[in-house]
Amino acid sequence: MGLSIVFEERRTDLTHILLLPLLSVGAAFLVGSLLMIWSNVDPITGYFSFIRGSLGGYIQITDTLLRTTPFLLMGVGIAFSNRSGVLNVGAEGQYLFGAIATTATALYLQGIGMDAGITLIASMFAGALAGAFWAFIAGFMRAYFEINEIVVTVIMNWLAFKIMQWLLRGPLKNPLSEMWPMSPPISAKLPLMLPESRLHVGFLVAIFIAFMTYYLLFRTKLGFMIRVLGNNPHAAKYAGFPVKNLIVFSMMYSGALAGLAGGIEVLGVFHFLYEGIAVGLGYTSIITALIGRNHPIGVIGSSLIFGMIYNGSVYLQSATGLTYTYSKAVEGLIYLFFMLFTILVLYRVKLVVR
Amino acid sequence: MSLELIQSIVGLGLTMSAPVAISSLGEVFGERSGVINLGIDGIMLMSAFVSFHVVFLSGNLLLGYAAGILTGVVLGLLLGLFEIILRFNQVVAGMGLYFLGFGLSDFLYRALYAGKIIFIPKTPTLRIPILSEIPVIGRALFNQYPGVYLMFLLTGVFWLIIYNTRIGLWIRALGENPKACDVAGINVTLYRLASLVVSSAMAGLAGTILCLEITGLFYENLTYGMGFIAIGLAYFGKWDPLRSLSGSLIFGISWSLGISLQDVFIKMGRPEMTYFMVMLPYLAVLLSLLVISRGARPPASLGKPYYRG
Amino acid sequence: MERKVIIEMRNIVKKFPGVVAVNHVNLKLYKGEVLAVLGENGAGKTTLMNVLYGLLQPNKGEIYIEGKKVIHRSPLDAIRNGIGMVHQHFTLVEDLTIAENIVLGLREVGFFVNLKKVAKEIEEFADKLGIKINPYAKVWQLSAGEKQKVEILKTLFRNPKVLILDEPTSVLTPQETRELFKAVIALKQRGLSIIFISHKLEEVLHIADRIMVLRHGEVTGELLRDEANPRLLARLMVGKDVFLDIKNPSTTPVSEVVLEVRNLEALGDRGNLALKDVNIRVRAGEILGIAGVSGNGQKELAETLYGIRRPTRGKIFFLNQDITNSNVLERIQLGISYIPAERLKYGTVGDLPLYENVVLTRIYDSKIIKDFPAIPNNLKPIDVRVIEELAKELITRYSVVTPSHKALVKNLSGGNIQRVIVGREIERNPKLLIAEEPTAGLDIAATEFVRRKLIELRNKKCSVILISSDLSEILSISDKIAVMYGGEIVGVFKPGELEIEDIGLMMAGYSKMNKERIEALWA
Repeated sequence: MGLSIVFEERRTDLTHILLLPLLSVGAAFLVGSLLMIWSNVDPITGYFSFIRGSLGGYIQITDTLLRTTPFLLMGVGIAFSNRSGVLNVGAEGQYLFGAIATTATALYLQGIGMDAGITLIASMFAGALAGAFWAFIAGFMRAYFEINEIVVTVIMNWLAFKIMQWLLRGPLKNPLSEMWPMSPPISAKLPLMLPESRLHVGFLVAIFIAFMTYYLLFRTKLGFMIRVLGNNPHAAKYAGFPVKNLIVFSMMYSGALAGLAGGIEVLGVFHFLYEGIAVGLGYTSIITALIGRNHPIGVIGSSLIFGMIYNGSVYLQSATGLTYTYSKAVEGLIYLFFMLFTILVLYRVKLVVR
Repeated sequence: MSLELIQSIVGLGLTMSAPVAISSLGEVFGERSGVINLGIDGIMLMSAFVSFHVVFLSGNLLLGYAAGILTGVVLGLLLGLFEIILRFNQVVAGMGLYFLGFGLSDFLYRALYAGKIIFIPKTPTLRIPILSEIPVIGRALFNQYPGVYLMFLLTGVFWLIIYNTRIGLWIRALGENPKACDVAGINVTLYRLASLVVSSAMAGLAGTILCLEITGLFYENLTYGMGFIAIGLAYFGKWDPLRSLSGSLIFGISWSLGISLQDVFIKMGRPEMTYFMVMLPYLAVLLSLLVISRGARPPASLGKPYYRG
Repeated sequence: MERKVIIEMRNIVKKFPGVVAVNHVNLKLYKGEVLAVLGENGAGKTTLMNVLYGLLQPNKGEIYIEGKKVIHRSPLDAIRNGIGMVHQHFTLVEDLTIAENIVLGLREVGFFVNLKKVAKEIEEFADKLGIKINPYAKVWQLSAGEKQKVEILKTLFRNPKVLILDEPTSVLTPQETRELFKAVIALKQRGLSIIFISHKLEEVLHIADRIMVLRHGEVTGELLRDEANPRLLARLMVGKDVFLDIKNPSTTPVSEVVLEVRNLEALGDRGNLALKDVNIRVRAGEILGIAGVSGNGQKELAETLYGIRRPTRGKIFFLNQDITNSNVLERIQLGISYIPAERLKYGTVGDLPLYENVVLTRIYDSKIIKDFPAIPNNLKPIDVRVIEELAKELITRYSVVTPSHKALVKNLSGGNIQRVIVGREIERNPKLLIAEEPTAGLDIAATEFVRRKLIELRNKKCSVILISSDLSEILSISDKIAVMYGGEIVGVFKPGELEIEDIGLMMAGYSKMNKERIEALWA
């Protein structure tokens, strides 16, 4: 018997598009509860602490928003470069490089007695610039040498991490901390948004940038060229668009947002640089961009989901002992289910037996 | 530099080349048929974990290898479901498998071993009786882990299959023009799936070798992005097994060179410089890509799902 | 005499989303005959054959081979039942050699392929058919005619009982077509049964024993050759008596030179020299037709003139301005338009709505951009209202059938996509329009529409370069004609000056005007 699969595209509307991420997260949590049972954790207790931890009160909600910030910035950046047809797997490295540059700039300005406000702005700017530079290398190699950007960005991530390790033991070393390599503390801190909470203005900056990116992509000439390039590079060439420069630019824009995210994390959350700031947020942001359907406004929604997952899993750990890697496994599952549901929701899939 | 040092650099270099070379070989095979496998790193991590777990439980190394390869096959079938049967975007699907392998292997390890560092018995090296007595190269080449011998053997086998057999001809044709294969009566879906599964099985073997022959333990992200390096080397090798092997050797040898230079810096009292030495293999691959892959022409239908009609 | 039925297709129905491509078609093929299936583009001929060959599964209907019911789930089943098919578009792997391409379809070779032995067999087999080939040549090095021969050889090598030829002459010169017809008759005499698919009346009348006409997926007539005549066939095929015949009131413009090309050379995609010392002169209000079998440098010429491909030698002047080093955008702004042959690949962005596609080659236009003085040009907002208006205008003027101007272009039919592209390029009021295969694959109404638009444009003093492998199209609307072969201009003439036979010889590379004569004719 021959078996063939037939796809028919469905007319989709907003409900379909909103349904998709929710379905995927739901299914991933369902499979996640099997993982919990297998690890001898009662899923009901587990998810209860999870929800309480991410949404259970004022502190929890503002903490979730705090954790949303880097996903939002990097997710929007990755969505932007995805729209031009290049996959930036290097947000992780650009984030680290941005964090390094922000730290170095802030420490330098603090050393010469600069005003805190100027220090903050200048060091965030340095972070964005550093991220853009790190991404530029991959964008340039892709555009002018046709070298796969995924391979290059993965290598660049590794290099950024190693450079950070070296700096924390060399030029950026805090002489008071022998055991744990870290930088000296930065005194300039991002202003907080709300009383009694850790949420800082970086969150507002991220939201603003999401809307700005939306405008850039869907309202301007530049955005039009980027979308044409991503959908059909041949047509972009035919229409006379500066294809190579568009690739480099979209990569740099993506890198700038990742670098800014690194800077904001340093200035708003940690106030110093240490190895632990690299926990794969940049990789998770790729999933954030995908679930947000490469749409800046969609990424606001999807990054909230991941902010919840990350914040919730902290409580999950203290309540049940499941480590943060649980959230990593759930992330992978969300991604897979999202792919599966994309096909099932956007297409009518029929099995034809004859 | 002393002879001893060169011997050890080459010897360790070959050992380090094996996982990259074998997964790169798999990628070459898969991409020749037109399918991108971006999940290699995830497969390697998952297989590394599974083989670690199996050896820990059973103490049987052979069982560990089998389990690692089988993990690759299973994940390859999963990826094939998305890439070939459901025709999902291959880059996106491959990244999905990477995330799954990355997250799940780490999760399982921490859940089962509570994150403790546990050593398992490593696979011993195989000394080839007479050849290993050859001065200079003997010890580096013929007193090696099985993975190194497999690396050379499989490179030859794949070269032979790709260029000299009917299946190889089909695979090459599939990557260039699947329509031509379809009208010639070749089942495009089946053979693309098969080559993706072979490619994933190779990644599984590579992950197993990494865990059982090189580290002897499992920890988070122990591949250090080797799977992605392997993908890069498929480009570097212009989809030829012999060329991609040469790229893997560059990677492995610069890795062991970096390690031996680390000692030099530690003796000089500059331990922080070791972090630069670890970058060496990655920089070497980056530079090689820059110099060699310019204008490499991938198989014409690479990454494009096939639709009839 | 009762003749033996070799293939019978009964009540075949094949539906695609939105259309019934083949609607209750019955087909009988007798042993040793040539059955022609005639119809317009989109009439369902190829779909019907793909069903027979197992590439498509019918929604309804049965297939019988020598009286036995068969189900063709894949081409492999059809091949095993003795059916061979030469497809309209080449199904050769360009990167492989001729021998490797032929081995691809063979099941008898072992696991290890002894290419030398097979290559020798192939050479001998080709010899018997009177075809000279080098089995070790890579397919991409071959001309279209040679590729066609390899296709046929590949199919015959498997020794089929039935041979399907789908539009086999579309890439051949008149001489090559005649050779093919001789071969077909020889094969028929050897007992092969042949289905010949075509939309060309003369060919069908020339070669067929029996003719079946399809229109909109239904059989509109089945007749013996002796019962048929061109008028009758045309009516069955098109459904009305009209026949495509655009009269071109040819003028002799003594006007300014719009485009001057000197000693142009450019490389093809594989680094081969695709254009050799090309000289061209086009005047305002003139249609220059470029004839030739496709793959002889026409695509490279169009791309080099438009700026997508860099020339390696020579100069291009546009209105006396050297544009050799100008990029595409600069040429677009100067007034050069290009309708590419691969319209889905280059001409449109399928996943963007129609109204955005309408400004694809118009982003330089200050009309579509809202002016905010302080913002850099690229970051200024696009005026969506203006481009929606442009799109609506284009939809009415060019009779584009679409649910709305917001519909995604990938959901339009091929003819409507071409109307969008043609409209977009003409509405920019270009001074030079390069139209590459502008009517390929269109139905008669759309073809006629496009040709009329080109003539209208010419009458408005625009220069048109019409690149087409359809010689009758070139002859019917060009003011001057150049023939390309092997990347060179091998002849220049005015319509009516040369016989078809002479043009065919030039297209096939057998004859060539000398340089001085060509140079004189350009003036």
